Amino acid sequence: MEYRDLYDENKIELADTLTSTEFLEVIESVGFKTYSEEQVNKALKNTMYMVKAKVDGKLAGIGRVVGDYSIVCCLSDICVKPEFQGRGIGLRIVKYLKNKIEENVKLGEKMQIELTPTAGNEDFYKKAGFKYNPDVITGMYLWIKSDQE
Amino acid sequence: MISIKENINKVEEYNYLFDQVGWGCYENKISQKALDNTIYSVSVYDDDKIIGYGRLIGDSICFLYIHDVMVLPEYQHKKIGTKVMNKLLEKINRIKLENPYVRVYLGASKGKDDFYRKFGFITRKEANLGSGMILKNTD
Repeated sequence: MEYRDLYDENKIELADTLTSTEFLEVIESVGFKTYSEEQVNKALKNTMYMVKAKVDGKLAGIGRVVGDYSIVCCLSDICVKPEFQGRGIGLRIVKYLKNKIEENVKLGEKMQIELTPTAGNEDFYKKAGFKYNPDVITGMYLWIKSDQE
Repeated sequence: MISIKENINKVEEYNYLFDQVGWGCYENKISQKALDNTIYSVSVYDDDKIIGYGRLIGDSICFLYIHDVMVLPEYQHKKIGTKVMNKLLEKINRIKLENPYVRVYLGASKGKDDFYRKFGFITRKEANLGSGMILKNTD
């Protein structure tokens, strides 16, 4: 991915609603396998947290978290349209979802977030605080604990 | 007598196995919430003693995650884990009928890659993806 000038923070609008049409628009723009609207509706209904990012009113990216609401969850479909890539939107999406999870972890509890980065994007997730340690687990992970930073 | 049951999700049994395989322990209410939000699970018993478990979480249609495949240490290497995985894969295959492109992920513990390979999993690296393992599409 080519890194361009980052957008000004205020230019990226984030919202916690996501329709199946928006989901498919972004997923298809990066060439991921596509699904039917019906399948996406079911998937979104069973999603813990979701987010969409807009720039100048235009849909630029999406992301979501699926999991068991208590012990473990996975980032999924973190996706930015090609024309908006390399400008800090993906990182804002990941940080937004990470914050959502943190807000909902109660004192003394901890939750594991896992993700499967596409090839070459490990460093991107490291910037968001994720660790990669194949001696422990094959994916990338992050423990959110409410009793520490 | 070994038996397999679906969607039992008894918190005491889950916590017992979790502790016995050396993963630590969760408070009952934390495990309970996790089990309540589990799509599908398999419990294996020797008579009425819990000896194995595995569960599926995810959005139930596009993304599935195999988690907490556990076998009591004294019952390991007796194909109990294989029974758990086969039963989970039966469920996954039913979901596949609804969505052939469902993504199935698991985070294998160190040294367990070859166990999961037997069921068709390959590492994401082998699939030219980033880290992690996915279920290899057979079609």
